Amino acid sequence: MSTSSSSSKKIVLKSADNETFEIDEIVALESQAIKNMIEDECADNVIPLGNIDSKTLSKIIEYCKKHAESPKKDDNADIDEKAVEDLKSFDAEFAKVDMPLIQDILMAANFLNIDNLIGLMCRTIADRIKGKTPEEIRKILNINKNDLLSPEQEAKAREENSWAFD
Amino acid sequence: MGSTKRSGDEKIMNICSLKRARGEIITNIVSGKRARGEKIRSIASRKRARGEIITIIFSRKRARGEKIRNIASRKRARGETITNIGSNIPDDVLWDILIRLPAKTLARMRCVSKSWNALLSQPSFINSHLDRSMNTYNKDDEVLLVFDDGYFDTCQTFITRPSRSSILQIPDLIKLPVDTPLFDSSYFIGSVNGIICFANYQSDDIYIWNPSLSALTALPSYAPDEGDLLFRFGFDPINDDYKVVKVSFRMGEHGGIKGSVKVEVYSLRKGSWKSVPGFPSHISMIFNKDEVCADGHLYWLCEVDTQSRDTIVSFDLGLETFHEISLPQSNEVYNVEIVLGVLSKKLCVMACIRNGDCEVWVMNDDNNIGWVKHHTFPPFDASIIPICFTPNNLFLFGVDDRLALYDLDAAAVKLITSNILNSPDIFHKIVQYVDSLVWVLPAPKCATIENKQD
Repeated sequence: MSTSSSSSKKIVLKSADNETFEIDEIVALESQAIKNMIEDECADNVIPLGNIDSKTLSKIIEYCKKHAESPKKDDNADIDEKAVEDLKSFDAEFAKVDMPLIQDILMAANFLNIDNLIGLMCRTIADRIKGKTPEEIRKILNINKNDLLSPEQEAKAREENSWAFD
Repeated sequence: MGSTKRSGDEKIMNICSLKRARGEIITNIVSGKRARGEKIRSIASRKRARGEIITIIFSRKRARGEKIRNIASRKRARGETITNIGSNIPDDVLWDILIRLPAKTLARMRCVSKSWNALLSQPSFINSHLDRSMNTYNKDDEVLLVFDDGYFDTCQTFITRPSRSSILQIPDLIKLPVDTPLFDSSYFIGSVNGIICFANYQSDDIYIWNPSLSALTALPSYAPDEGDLLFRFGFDPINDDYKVVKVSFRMGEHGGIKGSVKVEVYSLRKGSWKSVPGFPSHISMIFNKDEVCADGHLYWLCEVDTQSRDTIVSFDLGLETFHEISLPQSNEVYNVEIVLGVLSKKLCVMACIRNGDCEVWVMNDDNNIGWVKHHTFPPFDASIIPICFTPNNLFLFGVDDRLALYDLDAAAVKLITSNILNSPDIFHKIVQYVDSLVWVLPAPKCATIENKQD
């Protein structure tokens, strides 16, 4: 489990900007996608991740390391409360990054299929857009201009909401 | 080979490492709709048959059966690096983000972009959002709306097992439709999936209200009837429709129903009223105190002609047919009126017996088992009036002019100490507040056609 353990199997990931990351297999198993590759014996060479840059990938590895080292809930019924709290505060700190990075992490987590991390990033985005106007949301999430509603479509969407009496 | 077993519901990612014999690694990532899943798999197996090593990574399963547009994935398939991802969040990821937000916030977010508008208008998203809000309520924060005697201007809320505060201030949670004409003479008809139906006893107008969206609409008026009018509201899962049922009859000199009972049904989808025949003709009295809608049926407790025997008339909202259900055969004599309710989404009968116990029978229509005695509550100190079960199966009843909850799991009674009600009786209408995006309006064209036919 320890990262310093030389005997454990290593997995090598390569980011879009050609940086390689050697991680313990146990850490890589946090990703269901990589887990499937390992099971299918396709993870012996470097795994190229052509759509994830090194900044995002190192954040993902930081997250997977922490979660791989923490005791899993289903392992032990009377799990250490402190460990749960510790993981919670780690998650809270982990999510304190700017929105572009949040989204990059979310897309990468979605691609690598890391369920907990997807949930954490979705929660973070939901919290940040809650109570914001459509204009503010477009800015926060950098919504593509091509995806904007035409004035007619926007009027229709507003009209369909016009039953709201406040 | 576990690949096929891992088939994801909607999105399939396929990382193929090919041509490894030549020492090259090519990663081709294909994502697509579930509809394309079979095709991707079959290509993969053909390649495997040729001895190439293929790894298929299926994305996590989602318990949703629907197709999802995935712009970013298509870009990935074309080998484009995803940069500036915010400009095109794939719909399945967007779904995961938005499903966590309250209905009212989401209604406003439809204007954000085309893809947001499309997702937020999608019935499957609306239904998943509803499931999530109904299932994530726990007993501690279950919020009930209480209409004292069924009247709207008396609406109060309370949290069933409050760990924080017992009474939630109405303005903090919902905005009552006080601007509705004659709001203070409105009364509650029924509630399902977060939508509340109410009517005005002066103007006879019927309204559909979604408190979480602050949405309100009035139904088109119906032909006036002389005599008694009863209304019900329910959800028809067969047609994914919400229906208002209007029952009208005249009372004879000796108290019983005189002549036939007329039934008309309003479909929110169709936007029109229609007459439905077949209400059992031997019914002499309809007790309209329990607004029970369960499993696509409405239920009325009724009295059978001349025999002073009670029975239940059910109405299938999908098929629009009536049936009769006999009451459970208890060995006990009930000392107060029988109350119909819903327990674990099934019809139930609550009745107090002579020694103060309260019997609860649940209709189990799987394999025609019929009534099953679910519970006999131990005697309470005073005689009680059963009111209903909350959606989390807390038993709500009146005792000593107060409301009380009995928690089946904890086997404990909690008195609701506030004086929110004048006096507890079975005419109080108590509904669960459910955060819901559900809003059904008829397509204007359909409504016109139906009206012409009628």
